Amino acid sequence: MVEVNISKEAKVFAKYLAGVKINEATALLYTKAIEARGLICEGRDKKLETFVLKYPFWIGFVDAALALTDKQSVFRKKIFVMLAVMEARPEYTDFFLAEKGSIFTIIKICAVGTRSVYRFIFGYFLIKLFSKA
Amino acid sequence: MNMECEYLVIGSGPAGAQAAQTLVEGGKNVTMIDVGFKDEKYAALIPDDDFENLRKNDDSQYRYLLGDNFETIPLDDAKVGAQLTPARKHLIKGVDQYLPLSSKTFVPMESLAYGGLGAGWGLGCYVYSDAELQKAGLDKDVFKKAYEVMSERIGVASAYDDASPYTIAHLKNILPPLKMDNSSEKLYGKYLHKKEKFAKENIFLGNPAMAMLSVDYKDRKKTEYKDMDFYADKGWTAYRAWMTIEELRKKKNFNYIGDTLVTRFSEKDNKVIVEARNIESNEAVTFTCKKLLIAVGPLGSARLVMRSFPEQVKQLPMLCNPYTYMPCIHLSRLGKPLDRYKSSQGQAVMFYDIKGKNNDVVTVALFTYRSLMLYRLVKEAPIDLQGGRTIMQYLQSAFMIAGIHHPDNPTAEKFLKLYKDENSVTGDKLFAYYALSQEESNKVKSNEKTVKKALRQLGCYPVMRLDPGYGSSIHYAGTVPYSKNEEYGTTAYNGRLNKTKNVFMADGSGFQYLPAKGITFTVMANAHVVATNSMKTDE
Repeated sequence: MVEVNISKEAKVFAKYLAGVKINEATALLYTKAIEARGLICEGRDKKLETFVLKYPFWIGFVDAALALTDKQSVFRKKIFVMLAVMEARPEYTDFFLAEKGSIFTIIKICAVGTRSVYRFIFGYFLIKLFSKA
Repeated sequence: MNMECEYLVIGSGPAGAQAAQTLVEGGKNVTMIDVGFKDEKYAALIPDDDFENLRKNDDSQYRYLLGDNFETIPLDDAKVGAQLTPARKHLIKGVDQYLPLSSKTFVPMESLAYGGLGAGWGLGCYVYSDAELQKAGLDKDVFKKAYEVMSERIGVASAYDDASPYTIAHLKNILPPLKMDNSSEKLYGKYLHKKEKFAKENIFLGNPAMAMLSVDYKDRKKTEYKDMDFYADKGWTAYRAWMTIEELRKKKNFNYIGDTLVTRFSEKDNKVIVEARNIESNEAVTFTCKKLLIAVGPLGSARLVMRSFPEQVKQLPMLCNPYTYMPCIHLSRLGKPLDRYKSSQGQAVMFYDIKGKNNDVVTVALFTYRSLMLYRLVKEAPIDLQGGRTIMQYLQSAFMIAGIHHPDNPTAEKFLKLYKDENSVTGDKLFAYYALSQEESNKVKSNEKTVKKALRQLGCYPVMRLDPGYGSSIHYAGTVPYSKNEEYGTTAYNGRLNKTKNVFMADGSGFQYLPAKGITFTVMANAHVVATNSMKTDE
């Protein structure tokens, strides 16, 4: 049961990070990594985890807020582990190796930065809510 | 267990290896004792291919990129050792247990690895100027020759350019320079275009001098620019101290004993008695030798000296280069991927020669970023990981990391003490305190301002200043400083530990000043000099 949850987590995180549906091998690797590094969400982080697994739309908001308010959050560390695991899989290399850019690249970077700001604002209140609950 | 030997060298790092080679070549019988942790797993897993190909094709890459237990994914804020790849992680193995240290101001990196800290050395070779040698307490004429010996032994690749006075200086035995990657070449081109202007500001830029082979040398192979230098030592291209030891182990007059942690030494009847323990069996081992050469690094040397003279030496000074790094965006490289075939190590080096006298020079090592992986960069971005990945993927080829080292002088605010600690394997714990004076801090800030301005003039814009804390430069010295007076806790100018007859400090413990130029090449030259001196004092 625990493994099934972690596997679901892996899929949600991967979809969030790169917009892809990951294969079983990658999900299994993530499961191994989480077990090896002993990352278990408790308290507020557990509530946040349960919430975003149910409503994946909110994951970026929570992540953006934690990036500025609590970088040591276990929940955020789990997403970070997924990022590292994906980078070390050949299927997803293209999401990590440098790409040729153009003027649209600059526009995209600005858009992503702006999105991160508004994600932070909403995410901040969300975290406050879960900290109190 | 008791063992008799003629010359005993403690430590297998760059100093120990070079001291041992000099002694072996001098016909002495040499025993080296060392803990000697090795990477027994990861290096062997790495296929002989370039970084990009491995990333695109190797299913098992996670093993050597992240580790079987995913141990190199940095989850906390620790800065020292955070960049170590699985194949280099053994560098810090056992350090907490065997070399305990307590400090709120100083976070050093020490090693019990086979080859010492040199097993992960950035390979930069710098010849100290006459003024720097004099300030450090080293003889310029002796060192001119010693540097040549080191260059011949390890192979140094560099070019004669504006940076040469600060890197290779007078060295004759130089290999052709390593190829700069396209980003660094562009930066260097901009520098050449404005070099007169930079010269007026005492800023100089050029090829680094690297202990990495640009051509085949002795039995070692030239680099193939596969960008895997942080993971593997294929072809023995990059010099590592353990390579010297591997060669020495083929000689009859050299004996290597691993798994051995030295705790203290004493002298009796013109002999040196060294107490150690086997870390596997926990058995006490005593070595009786004619001459002892200590090459365990300045912090380790301080432990040994304070433990061996507990009544006479209560505190020792230390030196460590203040270090910060600045990720910069090299604007003209935005969206233009790096060369596929490149070296992972420093691509160019900049010097800020404040007074124009090749003394108190600020050193800026310039690196492009790829093989340490994107996730480490994303971690530093203060935004969501999804956005961080997207932005860093585009920015990474334009990233230039400027690692800035500042020179260091001894003050009362930089010191080491040894406290009793029953929970420690050695029964004690090293306490370190390091703080810069207001004047030193101001100098660091002012110098960084000049460096930032120079980087901007090269089209390389610093986006943040990261301060990993004191100790993170991994350049330590001056813990048992030179003194002409026969005093406890000091070293004579020939390398002999004062108040002893046959104990020599072969690492950088004696240096009275620490230039910002990387210390390793000088430490190796010094080990050669001290080993030569130790043979001169034979009866």
